[in-house]
Amino acid sequence: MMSVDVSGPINLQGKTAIVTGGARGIGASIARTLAREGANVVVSDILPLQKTISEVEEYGVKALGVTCDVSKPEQVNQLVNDAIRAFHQIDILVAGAAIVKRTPFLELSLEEWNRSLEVNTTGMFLTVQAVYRHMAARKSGKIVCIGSISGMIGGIIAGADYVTSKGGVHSLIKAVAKEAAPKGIYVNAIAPGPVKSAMTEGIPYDPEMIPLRRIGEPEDIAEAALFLASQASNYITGTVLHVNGGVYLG
Amino acid sequence: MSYSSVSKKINLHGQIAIITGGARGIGACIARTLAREGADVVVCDVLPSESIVAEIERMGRRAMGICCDVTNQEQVIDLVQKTLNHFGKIDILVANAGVVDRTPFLEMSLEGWKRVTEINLTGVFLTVQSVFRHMKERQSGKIVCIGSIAGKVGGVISAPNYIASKGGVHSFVKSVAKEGGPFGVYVNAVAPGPCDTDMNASVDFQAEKNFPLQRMGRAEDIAEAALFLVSPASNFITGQTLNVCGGVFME
Repeated sequence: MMSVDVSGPINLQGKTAIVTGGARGIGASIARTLAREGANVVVSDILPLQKTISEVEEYGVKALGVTCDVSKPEQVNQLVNDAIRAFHQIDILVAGAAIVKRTPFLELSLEEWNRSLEVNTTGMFLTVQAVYRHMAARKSGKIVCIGSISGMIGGIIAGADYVTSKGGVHSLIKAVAKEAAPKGIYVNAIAPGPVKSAMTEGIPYDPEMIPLRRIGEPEDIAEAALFLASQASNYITGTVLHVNGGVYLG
Repeated sequence: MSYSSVSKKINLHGQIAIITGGARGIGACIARTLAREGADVVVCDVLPSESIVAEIERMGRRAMGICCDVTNQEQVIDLVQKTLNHFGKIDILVANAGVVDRTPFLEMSLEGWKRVTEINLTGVFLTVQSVFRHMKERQSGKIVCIGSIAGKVGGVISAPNYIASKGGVHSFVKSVAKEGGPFGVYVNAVAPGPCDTDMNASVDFQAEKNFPLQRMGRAEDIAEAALFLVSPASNFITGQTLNVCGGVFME
């Protein structure tokens, strides 16, 4: 019979984290924030990784870049194998890789629909499953998946494909959390509201629509991810944490 | 115009926090945890708070105990006034004071209903309103109210007055969060699942068998969540109820 440790102060010294979608925006900010608290970070993306790797290393921890398309099972397995070879263990997964499109519904092709679900939901499934297998053997781990407020409220400017894929993420974490909890593995999601990043560039969000009167920054999501990836949240699993400036109140 | 700054690392140095129901259990643990991160703490309770006050002072922080019944508006106003006189400002409120009841529904008297809703719900209203007035003026502040998972799932062994009062807290924070947002005042709730505290001492939840994480919650679990929500690490989170329940309830 095992039972998980009681919550304590944030400290990631000696931990290893994988961050997918870590090349820029929210993912890069999460990689930096986990590094700040002492974690070694495996940064993964289909985009160039050098900038994030250098930023992580500035915190005096180790970084490894692995190019990976999360919709390809063999690449995801390679990512996990590379991480274990380099660091022997994976304590934390932040699954942030995603694509966004804003195609109007009647113009949405089956190809586009399939691609969004393949990356945003199936990619999440593949990454979480591969890491979970390793964590289950160690009976310990923290998994944080990045969902979206649009999965709750239908999206402000995102297409139906994106909205559906993110709603799927919020459901996926509950299913996995139930199975994972007795093994000491935590699975939660963060649902960001509007956040300034390359993915939302050029979108005219109106701060007056947001109770806190500003657009979110990647750091707002990163601190929440840190909380859920740390031992400060050792009695929280299967939860979607809404980080949206008060736009959606659950 | 926004008074809300971007999220950053947890650090409460120089901040003043009020914790209601802070003499023991979850409240005392929250007081201790906020002090650990640098906050000076006003502990408010109807029970004696000397012990936790002394503990916080030994940590090198300033602390003050104030005896206050949160259902008594004069006492609540006095709590806020004394805090301002002594410390000059209030950065954080954790409205934690509450009581539990296990009376079966048909045996519940109007007096029994009123006693619990008055403490758990009206007490939160009075405390938050008094502190909010000050925070709105300063255009800065973090408020966390302690709700309960029972308010969401109907409770395991608690009575309808308790359930309704805690559900009310979850709704209340949404309303005040909307009003506070433009002024940089954050209002959130934590919904604990069953915890190992005096309030639950008489109940066996068989957590090992029944709860996904296979243990009861501990005061520390709730305190770290409250810390996150009162700290600058959550500067884009308002109007939310964070479930800290070991996976017992997944919304």
